Amino acid sequence: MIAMHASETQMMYSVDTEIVQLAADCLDPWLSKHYNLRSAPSARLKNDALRDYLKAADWLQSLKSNATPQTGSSTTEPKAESSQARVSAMFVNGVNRLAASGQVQASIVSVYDRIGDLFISGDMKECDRLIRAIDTESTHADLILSFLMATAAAPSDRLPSRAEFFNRVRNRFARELGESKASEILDSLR
Amino acid sequence: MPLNLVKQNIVIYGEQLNPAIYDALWLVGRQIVNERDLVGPRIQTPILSAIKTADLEIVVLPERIQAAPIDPLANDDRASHVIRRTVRELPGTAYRAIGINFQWQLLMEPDSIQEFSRNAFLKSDDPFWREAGAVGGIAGASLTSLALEGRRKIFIDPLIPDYSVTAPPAGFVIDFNYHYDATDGAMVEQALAHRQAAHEETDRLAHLLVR
Repeated sequence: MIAMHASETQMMYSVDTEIVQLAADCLDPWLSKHYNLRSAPSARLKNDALRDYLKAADWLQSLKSNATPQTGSSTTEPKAESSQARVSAMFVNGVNRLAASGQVQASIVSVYDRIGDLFISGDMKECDRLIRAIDTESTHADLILSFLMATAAAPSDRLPSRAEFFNRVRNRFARELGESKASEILDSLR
Repeated sequence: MPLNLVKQNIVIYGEQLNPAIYDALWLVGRQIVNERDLVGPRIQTPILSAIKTADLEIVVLPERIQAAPIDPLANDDRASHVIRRTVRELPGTAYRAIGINFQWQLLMEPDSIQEFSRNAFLKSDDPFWREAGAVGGIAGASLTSLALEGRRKIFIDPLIPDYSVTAPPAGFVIDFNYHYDATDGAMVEQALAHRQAAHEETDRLAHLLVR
């Protein structure tokens, strides 16, 4: 014992949008403070805290974007796809925030762990969604490199978005560092 | 129920590990990896060094060095060799701890998870289970104990099927972490001496779970 997992289907309530916004304004800083990643005593607990933070943040996001009653398990395909894309974006946002707060190491470890877990479970669609969700212009360069490195072993037909992601990264690096340096850094990651 | 070792690695935590020095030249020059094995992608920045060889992935961050075999089933000492050689080459480095990690995955039919978890981790008449878990509850477990001269932590997390995925995996992820406090290279090497025994122990314990 003791890790109890109830259904992960999110409960989505019909709520007044103003109340939701108020909750969001209050909860978001609270979430950041509550899941104090810096004080987590081990890498595993940091990862657990990050995962919990992302779940909570995603729940909050779902409240904000759902004004009508629905159940997560009976959503139609487009809604399910939209929900999955949101979860992917939340992960990317979470590791970005972590890196922006000075915890680049923890964010890199989270990327490696997440991609590794997806490879093991064979969920390459989620892996592809993660790559699509990355804003290559604003994301920390070491984080971008970690995504490229961690996905380098995947066959291109399993990660159709990776080639386009690589090109976006290459454009940014070439612009910021010059063609030669960009090639030096990125060529082995293609 | 298929039970497979899906991941293993060795991680050392230290201070100011300086990823910038862990480039291919240094790793080859110090005989930490063979030059002919440098076939994979590499990253070299001031805070991240990552190299994939033919059979290993090495990631260095300012407080962490991680070596993992590409093939999780590889039961050899190449990851240990990387860590051992590294601490010998950098004798003045301050370390904090070393972790030897194995992840097993137990797969089963989604419908079987609840019953399996209750039988494995809770008494059937447990009031806690009756109140909290009877409807759709899926239990996991964590167990911390002393083993192989270190602290062994086992985490068993349900792998809850995601029905939006075709043929979602379902079952349990079983993480074994052998933790050793280690403040210098000699203590790291002492811990590494337990890797093979730890590997065998996780195999035995994971199979006991499904017996």
